[in-house]
Formats: sequence, C-alpha cells, structure tokens
Amino acid sequence: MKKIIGIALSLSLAALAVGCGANPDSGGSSANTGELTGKISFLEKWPDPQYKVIFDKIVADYIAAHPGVEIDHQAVGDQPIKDQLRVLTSADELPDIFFAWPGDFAKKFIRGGFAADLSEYLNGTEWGESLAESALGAYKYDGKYYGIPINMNAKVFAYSKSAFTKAGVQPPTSYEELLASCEPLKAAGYTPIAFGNQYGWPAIHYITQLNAEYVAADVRNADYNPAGGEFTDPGYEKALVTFKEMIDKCSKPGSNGISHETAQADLTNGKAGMQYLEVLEFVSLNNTETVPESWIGDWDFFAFPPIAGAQGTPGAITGAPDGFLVNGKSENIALAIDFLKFLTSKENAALIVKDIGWPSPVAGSAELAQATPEVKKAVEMMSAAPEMAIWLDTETHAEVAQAYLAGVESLLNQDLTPAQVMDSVRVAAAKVKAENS
Amino acid sequence: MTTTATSTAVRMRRPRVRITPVRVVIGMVLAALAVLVIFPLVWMAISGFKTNAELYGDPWGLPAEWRWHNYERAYEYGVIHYIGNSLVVTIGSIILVVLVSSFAAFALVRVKIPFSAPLTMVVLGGLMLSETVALVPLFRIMRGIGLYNSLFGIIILYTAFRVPFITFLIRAYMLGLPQEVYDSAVVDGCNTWQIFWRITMPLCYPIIISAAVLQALFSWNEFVFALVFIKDDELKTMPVGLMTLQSKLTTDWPVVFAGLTMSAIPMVLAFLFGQRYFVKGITEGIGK
Repeated sequence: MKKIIGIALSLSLAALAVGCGANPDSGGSSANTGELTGKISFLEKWPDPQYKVIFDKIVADYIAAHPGVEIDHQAVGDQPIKDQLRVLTSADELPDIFFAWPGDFAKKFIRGGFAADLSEYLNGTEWGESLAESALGAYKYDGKYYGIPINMNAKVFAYSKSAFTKAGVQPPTSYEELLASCEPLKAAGYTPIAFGNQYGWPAIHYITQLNAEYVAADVRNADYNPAGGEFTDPGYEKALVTFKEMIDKCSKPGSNGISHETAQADLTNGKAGMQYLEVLEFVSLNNTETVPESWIGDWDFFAFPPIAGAQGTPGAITGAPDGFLVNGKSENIALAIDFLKFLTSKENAALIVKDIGWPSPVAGSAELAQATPEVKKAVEMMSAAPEMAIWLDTETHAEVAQAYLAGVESLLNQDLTPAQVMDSVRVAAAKVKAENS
Repeated sequence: MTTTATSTAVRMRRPRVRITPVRVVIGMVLAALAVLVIFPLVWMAISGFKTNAELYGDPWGLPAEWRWHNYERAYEYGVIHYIGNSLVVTIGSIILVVLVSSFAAFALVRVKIPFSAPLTMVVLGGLMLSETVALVPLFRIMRGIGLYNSLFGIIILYTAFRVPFITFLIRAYMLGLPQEVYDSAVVDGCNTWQIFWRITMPLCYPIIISAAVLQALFSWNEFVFALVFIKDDELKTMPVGLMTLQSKLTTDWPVVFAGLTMSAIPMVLAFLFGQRYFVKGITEGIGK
C-alpha cells in the first residue's frame, strides 16, 4: 500500500512539475530614459482564433519594435470579461489597458478613478485627429476623453434580396412600410424578421433604437444617467408597444428560446427575409465557411426606418464602438498610450479592417485595406447619422439594464405588458438614483 | 460417460433468460435511456464534421463532406493542451482531496482530539462557502502567495473547496465501520498510523472511489476559478479553453463541437475502463 501511494504521489508531483508554470506577475516598471521600456498588461475580449491572431500579431510587432518592452496580453470572452473586470477592480489589480463598453459600463471605471483622462493625448494632436469623433465621443465624460475606440459598430437590417424580390417588396423607408412588408414576405414563405432573443441583448438593441426614435436625446441622456433616471416620458412605453407589435407580426413565436445565430441561419439559409444585426457581423455574412454560397452576393442592408410622428432623433442609429480604457493608476501610462497609438495606427487599423472586417474609426484605413462595399457603406451611414445611440444595456446602470432585460423577456413571453415593464424599470431607476445622488 | 458430459455441459451453460412481457418493457426502457445518453454524444461528434450552414440548416442530417479539418483546427487551437492541463488539475486535486479528507475524517472519527465536535462543524461549515463570494479575497491571497496563474494554485483551490464535502462523505462511511476491527487492531499492536493505512483505508475503498469520481467530475468541468485564476493561454483548462473558441457574433460551431468531442474522450474512456469501479463506488459509497 505504501509503495502504491508513494508511486502515486511521485507521479502527481512529476505531473505538477511538468504542468505547472507558476508565473506570478512581476508588475509593470518603467524606466523612462527616452526609449520606452517596461511592462504593461493588456486585457481584451476577443480570444476566439480569428481575432486572436490579429491582436497577437500587433502585440508581437510592437514588442519587436521596442525591445525593452514586455506586454502581458490576455484575452477573455465577451461574457466572462465582466466577471474578470469585477474581480480585478475589487482586488485593485486592473490591467494597464483594458476593454470597456462605452456608456455607464465605462463610466463606472471613470467615476471610480480607474480610467485615465486621455484628453491631453487626443485634443489637437495628430492621433486625436485620426480617430472619428463619433467613436471617440462614445467614451467622452464631462468633456474629457477616456477611451480609445478600436472599431465602429451599428445595428442595421440585413435582408435577402431574393426574398424581397419574391415577395414583391422594397427596402422600407418608414417603419410603417417595414410592418407592411411582413405580410407579403409571409405569403412568399419567409419568416419576415428572423429574431432570436436567447441572450437578451438582441431585444435590448431594438429597444435602444426605438427609445432613440421616440424619446428626445436630452430626456434620454438625463434618464440614462444613474443620478437622474426618471423614465417618465411616454415615449419609453411607446417603444415597447412598437417592439411588441413588430415582433408579434413579423417574427416566429418563442423568440426567447432561439439564439441569435440560429435566427441568422434562417436568414442565410433562405428561410427568413431580414434580421436586425450588427455591422461587425458582416464578416460572417460573407464567409463561405459559415453561410451557403447562394447567400453570398444576395444580401444588402438598410438602417432602421424612421417612425412617423415620433419625438426622438430621426435618423439615429443604434451602435457604439468597442474600445479600451487606460488604468488611471497605471505606473506606465506613457507606454500604454504609445501601444494604443500603435494599435490604432493606420496600418494596424487597415489590418483589422482587411482581416476581420471591422469598420475602423481610423481615418483612411478602409481605403488602405480595400474594405468591402458593405463595410464602406456602413461607415458612411454611421458618419452621416445625427446620433449614435449606445446599447441600452451598457449605457444605463447595471440595475436599470437588468430591469429592462428581464422586463423585455417577460414582454415577449406575454407575462408583462409594456406599462408593467416600465414600472419595473422606474423602480430600478429610483433605487439607482437614490444610491447615486 | 456421455450422460455425465452432457449434464456437465448443461450445468456450465448460462441459465437461459426467460423472455416475459415485463422484461421486454424493461429492456425497451433501458434501450431508450441508452439512446438518450448516447445520442447527444454522437450528434456532437458528427456536428464536428459539418459547416456552420449545415449545422443550422440540417441539424439532424449527416455532413455532405466529412470535414476532418475541423478536428485538425480544434487541435491547432490547442484543445489537446487544454485537455492536458485539465488532466493535471483533475488528477492532482483527486489525490490531494482524497488524502486530506481521509486524514480529516479519520481524525474526527477515530482519534480522540479536543473539541472534535465543534471542529467537525467548522470543517462541514465549509460546504456553505460559495465560490463566487470568495473570488475577490481569494484573488488577493493567490496573488500574494504567488499561486495566481499556476496549475498548482488551481489544484489547491479545487482541493480546499471540496475538502468539506469529501470529508463529510468519508466521515459518514467511517462512522459505519465496525468498532471490533479497530479493537482487534489495537490488541494486535497497531499504532494510529498503521490503523489508518492498514485497516481504515482498505475498508473505505468504496467511498474513496466515489470521492475520486465526484472530484473528477468537479475538477474537469469547473469554470469560474479556472477563468479568474489562470491568465496564460498555455495554462488554461478545458472549459475555459473551449470557451475561447466561441465569440459573441461569429462562432465557428463545428470546430467548437470538434473540440468538445475531443475533450469528452478522456472522460468517456475513463468511464468505459473503470465502469465497474464507478458504479460500485457510487452505489456502495453514497448509499452507505
């Protein structure tokens, strides 16, 4: 028995010796003697292989150009990064550069002093001029810039040209036309609007757009602010009523049980007419590995059409860039800024546009990368939009966002009415307001 | 002679099972259960050969072409590496948790120590501690003692969080062992150490197997600690590693399924080869 246990222990210790690369962080250090040196940590949210190679390459290129620099690069997925950032913030171990969604998600770090003011590096500088103001503005707080955008994103309706032709409908120019196109599409054998809300955010993106259509920008800005949320404008309820009407009339029932990808497969496999999706998804709409060949070249897109008589911002588009904040307590801010400049240089932005199809906020990168016609058109559309409405679930306080997410899910399940959803949002907003004022 | 040989052959033959309606129904129910368990695994393995379009367009059909390169890509993306890390963590934590919990249970049951009753409550109180609540303080501790971003640190965490439950299991089993065996061991001159290794541990074999199985399932699938306490790609365990193959908008699901299939192989093999011990361990151990 002793012998067996002895062997087992030896084996396990040997396995540990092989497998355990104890690698505690040594922390950043900077020796600013003209040439930038030291170590910075960089946390982003694209670990999946098609994106990871790009970020790995950019990091490797920077290190090759700066021999004294070390970059501790970590990629964590879209959902887990929220837990990761929560733990790192609580433990006061935030990386030097970290991903943050614009809106209240980023503002929490700004209010807590965890994000550095980058205005001096952007105001009137060549770097600042090279970045689209609409993207930079998403990370603006109290007149100061705190974030560096890496891409530009917006929600649009992608539609099947052949489905529209078969149903005898045109891309709608008003919400009423959009609603009217559903019957002919159904008659032609299509689900008019492919919609899957398993993750919650697809419905919230609709509500973001509809709130922008129905509620004036200044009222929304006040309500989305944790210290001033009232949500008493009747436009919020109208937005929910419109959303419910559109989904009931134009989509399959049971959307809470359908994933966004499954709904998208209905569109690309010729079973649906259109889907409200992100410009960042264009790359997968053109990928022969992920869609049937019949779909390639058979699609186009249009922005959410305006609603007659709505009191909000006509022509507003839902969308926001993804971007990075610099840790306000970083000991290596100069190095972090220099790396971000490199990341958003025209060449690297062009690499991102070319290889992963993201619309870039960097001026001239689309031309350099020979972006697809769809991406070029989307960039023009975003540039011309009078307002970019930031995702409701990252723009508002987490509790308000949660009330919206749960409420809209119940609305789709027929468990709550639009008025009841708004009641729960107002309760959450009042609680948040009391805590923040 | 012939008669004797025939009768021996009859005796040697396995008794014929009589087919009755009840047996047929039971057989059909068991077959249906087997299909329920096996079908998702087969579907997952087959889906690993498809394209995204085939997966969504014809989820139940066979792929038009068997795309082995999905499995090759999963391999290239490091799935084998993730599985290796999971094996290290699982085997390490099984050995550690079984040893520590057996010592603890033995001490609580068989050794006269002061305050053993409150001590038992303290150990079992660990069952109440949730992983999520402990994340932030643990993060600081792990950074402080240099165990952050190491497989050894993960093994320690998996052990620490499972010691209360496994101790609870082994202690309950040890309480049921006959006192006479211990009395005779003492009469024969065994010291405490010998009683533990030569008497208690062999008698506790069924529960040790159960504990090992339960710990293996926990360590193999654990996600939150592995996500927060491992930073380097080379050290990621299987659940976190496979998560990195998925993106918010553009996941190549067949490659993910290929990775999932590859990661299921060690557990399926372990079950096939150790089926007898698994079932025996769980029924004898937990049922005790």
